[in-house]
Amino acid sequence: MGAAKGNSNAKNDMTKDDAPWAEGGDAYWLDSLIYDSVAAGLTEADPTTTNWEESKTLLGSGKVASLVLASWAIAQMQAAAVTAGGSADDIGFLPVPAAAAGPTYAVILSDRAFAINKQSKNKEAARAWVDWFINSGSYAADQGFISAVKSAPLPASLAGLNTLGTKLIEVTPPAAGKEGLFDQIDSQSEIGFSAAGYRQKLVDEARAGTPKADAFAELNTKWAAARAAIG
Amino acid sequence: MTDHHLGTSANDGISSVAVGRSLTRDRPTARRREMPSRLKFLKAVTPWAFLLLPLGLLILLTYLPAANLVYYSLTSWDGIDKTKEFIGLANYHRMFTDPEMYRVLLVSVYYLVGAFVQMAIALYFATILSSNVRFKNFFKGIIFFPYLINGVAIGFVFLYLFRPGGTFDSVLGLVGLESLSRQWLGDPSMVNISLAGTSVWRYTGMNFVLFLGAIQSIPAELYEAAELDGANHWRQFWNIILPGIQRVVGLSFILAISGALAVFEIPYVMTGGGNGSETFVIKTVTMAFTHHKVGLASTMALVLLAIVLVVTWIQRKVFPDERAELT
Repeated sequence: MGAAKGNSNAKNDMTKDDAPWAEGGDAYWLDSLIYDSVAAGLTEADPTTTNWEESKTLLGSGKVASLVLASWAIAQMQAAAVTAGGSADDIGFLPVPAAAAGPTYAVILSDRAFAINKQSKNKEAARAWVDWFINSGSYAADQGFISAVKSAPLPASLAGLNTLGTKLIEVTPPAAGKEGLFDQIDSQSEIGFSAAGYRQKLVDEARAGTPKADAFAELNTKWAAARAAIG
Repeated sequence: MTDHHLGTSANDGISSVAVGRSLTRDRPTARRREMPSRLKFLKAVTPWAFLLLPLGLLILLTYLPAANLVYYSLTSWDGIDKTKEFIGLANYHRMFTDPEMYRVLLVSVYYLVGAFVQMAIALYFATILSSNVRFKNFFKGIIFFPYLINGVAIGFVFLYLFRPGGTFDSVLGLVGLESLSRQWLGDPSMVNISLAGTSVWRYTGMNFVLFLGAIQSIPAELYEAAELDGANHWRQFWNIILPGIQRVVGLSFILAISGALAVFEIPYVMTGGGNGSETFVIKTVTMAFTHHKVGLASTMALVLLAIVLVVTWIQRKVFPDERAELT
């Protein structure tokens, strides 16, 4: 969300929008990508029987051109490429193609957070370890993650982003008092934005030939009704 | 000589027994005292003491949660909130007026038909394998084995079976039936039939074992008498076996119907409920844990319980619980 136009406020804006799947919206753009790809026959013939391990091999051997994943998967894909007889360099990472030309954006999300237990008897040792892990440890570089240290360079697997001049944006947290609003509206509308069922349903509808306008109109109606119910 | 000897000892035995008996009968009954009231109390309480633990667990783990379900169904609880807002019968109103709910119940019809097919197959094999057939234990093992396998494993194996160009398509190709090949799970008109077929494969063993046990409890003389009377196998089946196992058949009917309504594991593991294979229980689980509508999900669970109870009641009326008279 937000990667299309670099809108770091995309999710928050959705809570104020009665028709997020109307043309021009972020959700519209995101789901159109899925919908149009499936409807045009560019995806697998039978999505119900594909599985993760095999998908990796298909990408590694070149039978599949691209997978929509986040950067955590790069290491796995490179390993699969090597197993399939190719090389790790066959795998690249590009930002979501919002338009044929123009600026590109990529949304970054945090992976895991560190905390020191306030009941701990060894707070200094814990703090030292956390400092070492973030600043001197090689976890981020090894896994292909963006380091939490601002001055650290991007890992090698993400070097392509530099070449393209991709701007990395972070999701803006919701305003105070509205922290759970997106999830509330989402649950009330029974869309399940972050759950697997929602995109699965889009794929099913695209394969069945339901017009995109109808599918999106239904989503808009549900969202608007939920917004009205939550208030 | 032997007789005389026996007679004497027998006589001796009888007389000594007779003496022994009269001795005890003539003894005064003062020996039998009143059982002390403490012992009487313990005797009455002991069965309840043994039942305490199982009853306690039953109430704690079954009846209390069921009562909670009734409570939650009257609220709009999201599963996490500290407060539960009372909304009356709104959930029930939604349950009975939303066409989506009926659509997922209709998916269960596929599994119901599958369950009847399953019972027919199980009955057929049980009848054959209850008579003397070579390698019958081996066949019994094969038929029962799928029931022992974990449902998730079966789901994954059948996913491989049903993929385009997978095992099923290959086997069809081997016998020259490639034209029948289609997207077994990808085609929304086929997906429920494929999943119901997987369910039949899995549960036939259970029905088979139930029927086998019931058939083997029918006394063998009945078959011999029927054969003497000139009954062929079909007549024997219809007039001896079926009436003899009617209680088990009746039980299997309830299990089939309640099982078809409550299907969850196979479609959830294989398709996640997508492509038109969403069943009532999958929708209930999604409602509770993805959309955080525990109140509505409780309502759905209670409605399912009510349907199963009604079906059981009907079954008790149509197949009353009396032993069939075979002789």
